[in-house]
Parts: sequence; structure tokens; C-alpha cells
Amino acid sequence: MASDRETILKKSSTLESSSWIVIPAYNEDESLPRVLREIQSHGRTENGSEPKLDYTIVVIDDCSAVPITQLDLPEGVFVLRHLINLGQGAALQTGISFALSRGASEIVTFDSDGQHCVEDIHRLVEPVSSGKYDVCLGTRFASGGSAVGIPLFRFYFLKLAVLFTRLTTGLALTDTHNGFRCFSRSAASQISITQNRMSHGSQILSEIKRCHLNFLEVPVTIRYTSYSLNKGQRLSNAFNIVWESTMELLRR
Amino acid sequence: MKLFQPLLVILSGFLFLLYLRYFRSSFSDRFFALLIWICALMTILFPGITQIFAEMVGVGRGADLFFYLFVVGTSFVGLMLYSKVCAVERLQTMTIRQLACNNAVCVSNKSRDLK
Repeated sequence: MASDRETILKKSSTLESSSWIVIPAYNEDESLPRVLREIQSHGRTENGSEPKLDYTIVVIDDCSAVPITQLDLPEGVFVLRHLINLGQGAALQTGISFALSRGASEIVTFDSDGQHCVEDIHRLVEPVSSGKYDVCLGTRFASGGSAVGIPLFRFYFLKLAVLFTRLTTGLALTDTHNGFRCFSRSAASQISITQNRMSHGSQILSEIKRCHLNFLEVPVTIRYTSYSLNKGQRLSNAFNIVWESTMELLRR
Repeated sequence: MKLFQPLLVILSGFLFLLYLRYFRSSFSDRFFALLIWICALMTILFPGITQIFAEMVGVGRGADLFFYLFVVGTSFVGLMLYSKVCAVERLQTMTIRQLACNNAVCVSNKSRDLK
């Protein structure tokens, strides 16, 4: 059985693209299959007679109640399952480590709740794949970006979060914590996400600063729906993020 | 000798023996624990001692000095435990990550049969 799995993994490696999309998922059985199909239908090019996918997708099932492998997923998607729920930060690092081990040259982090637009993926990957930048960060607040359906209170709260990020990391960003990013292989190898839960977003920015990585903000569209608002971060998580970030600073 | 004194001596001695028996620790840690136990014994058997030390450091009462030391001590122990929990969590994360990577599945008709 194990050798069968190895055969499948080896066989699939010949079809893999060097651009990887890492999608952490926890109980996203409603939106995940749709998101995966959108990515695959968007990033598909004809290579001779064979259709070739522009991106290799890895989904990290963070111990969902219904295992993600039981969902109706499109072919060619890698699924990794955590035996216990560790949190989004841990799931991202698992996906990044796996992508690096398979030879990824660019790694995009993408949400499974349908907030991110597949049309923006290429805009994030291009500056990194061209070698001009180590990291691209999606921004919904810069010119050209948008936050569709964002509640007013959340908008102002996020503006405060941007200010907090500027103070703690020293990075002059227009947005923070929207989860849509692209790393070069070198950047992904240097960045180490040790914050298992939601404060990984702040940690990634601190790591960009610590590793002196060359980054670019790219305008993206973030869609807020009742589903994503219910599934996404609660504002009360902000206190946890501040606490975890402070303890991380003390640990160093 | 009051009734509480032999009871506390027996209890503290029992805790010290538990520490020696069940906690993996270095010689210096055990020596430090022994010193703390001796200090505890002295304050149980001779409660007036705390008053002398309290006056030496400018705290009014021996009970106050004991309370302040207790607060500092428990905060230190709390941080130590937090640090231990974080270390265990990191180890657990690494193990689960390795298992997840080793058991990666690529979705195909054949891989579905593997489940």
C-alpha cells in the first residue's frame, strides 16, 4: 500500500508545476472543492495535446471533522492531513515544507473559504518568478485592490492592525493579515513559521524583516461573504495575536 | 511545638521526596531544591526568623515578605511551565508535520482506492 502511494507520488511529480499553491483548510467542505476547481480551471494551459496545470495545489487538512480526502476534489491535488488540529500557521508551514521538498520555485498561500480571487494569483507569482522580489504580499487597501463587502467596523479595525504592524515590524505596509502571499523558494526556505495559530501572519512579516527579504505589495481583491465572515477570524482573536506575538518576542 | 508544625514538616518532606523520585533534574537543581526545603523547614520550626529577615530588607512583617516571595516564585514557575508547554507543542507540531508529509496523497482515482 505504501509502495502504491510512492508510485502515485512519483508519477504525479512529472506533472507538477514549479509554482505551488498552499491551502490550509479546516472544516471547509462547503467551499474547498469549488475553490480548487476555480484554481485549476483558471491556471490550465494547453501544452501540445496534454493540458498542463500552471499550479500544483497542496491542501493541508488540519484535522477536519470530515477528512478532506473524502470530498469530491479535482485530480492532481495533494492532500496532507494533520492528525490533530494545530492551527492555520502550522498548516501553512506543513504545506510550505512539503512544497519545498517537491522542488517548488514559488509558493502561494491561498485561503480555502473563497475570499481570494484566482485571477490575482498570477499577479502575485509574476514578480517573484521573474526574480525581482523574494516575497509578494496581497493588499486590499492599495490603489487597484479592493475589499468587496467588508463590514465597516472590520475596515477600521484592519486599519488599526496595519498601524500596529508598522510599529512592531517597521515594515511600511498598506495591508496586513489577508493571507494571500507568494514566496520565492529562497524566501520560503528562510522563513520559519513557529506560531501555530493566527499570529503567524505577524510572524511572517517579522521574518521578512529579519531575513531582509525584498518584498512587493500587489493589489488584490478580497471578497467578504456571509460564509467567509462566519468562518474567518473573529475580531477577538486580535488579543490572542497580540499575546502570542509578545510571547514570541520574549522567547527570542 | 504547635500541631501545624509537624504536619507541615511531614508534608514538605513528602513533597521533597516526590521531587527527588519523579522529576528528572541535574545535581544543581536537586541541591537548589534541598536549600529551599531547608529554608521551609526553618520557617516552619522557627516562624520568628521571617520577621528578622523582613526587617532586614525593610518589609514590615514576616508574613508580607513570605507573600512577596510566594508571588515572585509562582510567577517564575508559571513562566517555566509555559516555556515547557511551548517546547512540547513545538515537538508535537514537528512530529505531526512529518507524519502528514510522509502520508501525502495525490488525488486520483487510484489514490482514492488507497483509503
